[in-house]
Amino acid sequence: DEALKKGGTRRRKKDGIDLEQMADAEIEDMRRRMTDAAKWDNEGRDRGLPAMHKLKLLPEVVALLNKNTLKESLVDPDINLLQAVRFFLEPLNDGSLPAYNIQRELFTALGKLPITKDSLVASGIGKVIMFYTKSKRPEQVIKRQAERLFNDWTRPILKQNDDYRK
Amino acid sequence: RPGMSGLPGLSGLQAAGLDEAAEEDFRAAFGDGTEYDWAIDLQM
Repeated sequence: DEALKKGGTRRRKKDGIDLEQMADAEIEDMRRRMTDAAKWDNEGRDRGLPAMHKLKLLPEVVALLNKNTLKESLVDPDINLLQAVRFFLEPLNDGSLPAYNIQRELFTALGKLPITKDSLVASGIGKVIMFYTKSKRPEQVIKRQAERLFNDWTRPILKQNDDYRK
Repeated sequence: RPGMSGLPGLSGLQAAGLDEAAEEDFRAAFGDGTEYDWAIDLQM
C-alpha cells in the first residue's frame, strides 16, 4: 500500500519532460550495461583474463543505487535492475566469487533499498543471497550482511501472508 | 518435502506455523536453496 501511495506522488513534470521516464530510462540503460559487463567478465574468465568490466562499472552502479529519489524505480520488478545486481553478485563460471569490493558495495546498497516480494521474484536476487549464506568462500562480514538481508527480505513475505489472512 | 532440503529458511517458516501460500512465496523469492550448488561444488 505504501509503495502504491508513493508511486502516485513521484511522477513529476518539468518543462514538459517527464522526470520519472528519464529516471527509468537511466536505470534501464544501467541494467543493460551491467548485464553486458557480467557477461564479458564471465567470457574473459573462460579465457583466463581478469574480470575487470564489473569492477570498472561498479562506482556508477553504486552511485545509482544510492539515489534516494529513485528507490522505487530501482526495485521496480518491470525495470528489473536488481536482476543485473544479481548478475554482478553471482559466482563466475569457475565458481569464483566476484571481487570483494563488488560484494561489499552491493550488499551495503541492497540493505538500503525497499525490496518487495515482487522485486525478489522478478530478479532472483534472493537466490544469490542464499548462495552467500551457504558458501564457505565469502568473508565473514559478507556472510553476516547476506544473513541480515535474508532476514529483512523474508519479512515482507511473512507480513503479506499475515495480512492476507486477516 | 522433496526438493526443499537445501532451503535453510524454510524450517523457520514451518516452525512459525506458516501456511502453504507463504511457502510458495518464499520459494518464488528465494528458490529452493540449490540454484548455486554448482558453484559450491566447484569451490570444494
